Amino acid sequence: MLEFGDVITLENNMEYVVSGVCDFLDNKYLYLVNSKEVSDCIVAMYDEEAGEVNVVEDPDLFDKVMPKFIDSLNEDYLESGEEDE
Amino acid sequence: MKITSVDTQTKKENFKKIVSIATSGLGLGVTYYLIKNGILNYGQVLDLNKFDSVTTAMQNMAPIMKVPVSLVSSSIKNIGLDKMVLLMKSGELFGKIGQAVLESDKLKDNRHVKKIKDVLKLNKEDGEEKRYSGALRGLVSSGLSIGARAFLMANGVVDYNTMDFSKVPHRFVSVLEHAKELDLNRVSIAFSTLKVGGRFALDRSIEKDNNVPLKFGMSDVLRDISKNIKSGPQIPPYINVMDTLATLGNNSRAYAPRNIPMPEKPNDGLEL
Repeated sequence: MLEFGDVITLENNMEYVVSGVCDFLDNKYLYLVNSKEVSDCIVAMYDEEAGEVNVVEDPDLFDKVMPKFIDSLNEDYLESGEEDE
Repeated sequence: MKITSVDTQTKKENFKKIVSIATSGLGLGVTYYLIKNGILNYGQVLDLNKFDSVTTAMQNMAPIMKVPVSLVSSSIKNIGLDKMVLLMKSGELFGKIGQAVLESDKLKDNRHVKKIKDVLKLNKEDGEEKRYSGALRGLVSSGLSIGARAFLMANGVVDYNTMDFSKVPHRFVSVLEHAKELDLNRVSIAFSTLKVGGRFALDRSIEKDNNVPLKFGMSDVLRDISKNIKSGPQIPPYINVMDTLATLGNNSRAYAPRNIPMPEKPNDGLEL
């Protein structure tokens, strides 16, 4: 099971950091941020059994899922993390 | 898309960096989220007469933001002009905060402040654009992290009053010190807006590689963004700002004005 902070590599060889995990309607969603370029973000449904992520392309679904990432963020991560230069 | 590998160790070895990336990424999402939902406290300062075509603004903002671009471009159509104005106001706000930082005697020797001043003084000699671009992106990246935290506090996810400031990155506390006349909402929006500036700067870097004349400068970036948003005729008369704000107000838990107590702990300088 993926969790906050894990780094995954997709079949296109792009590396993403799991920056958010949430559940919505019995599905698991990931908020992925490219480890090299933070402006490259993906909201994707996570199929754990198949080991796949499927990018959310439905704007309505995106609207519903996005706030849940924020709700699920553990403040412990924020308190323990200092940004680096 | 198939996941080919999972690394669960790096976060333990290099946790700080990951948190930085993650919160920066969250800032991007938050940017979208803020725009989509609107920020109420700006209602009193909206000057809609400055802005115009909703369609033009949306079309110009979508490629700049890229959060994620396909989703923004399709869903941003329903945002509304008032939120776009909020975004621009955020840019203005950042300018005010930045100015206070630059004028501070306390921070005059801070290396980041020096860097900002160097950036502002840059002329257009060969090679300096590249240096400027890197500096700007560094500032944007730091600002995003701050923005993400500020948003979480402003949005009630993290309770400011129960926060142990000994654990909060100093840069955040420092920014708050210089923004104490403002509420957290505005600070968070301001830094979230930096994302737009950063993206814009990056795009301009790409243009440079294609031999398109490059013009940099924070004021230039914000002005160019403003120009993108402001082109076109007057605002359509059917937009009733007060009704919109009243509707949004009924749903606002997150954006109520807050009286922000400042931490007693002295700061060791701005860490932008």
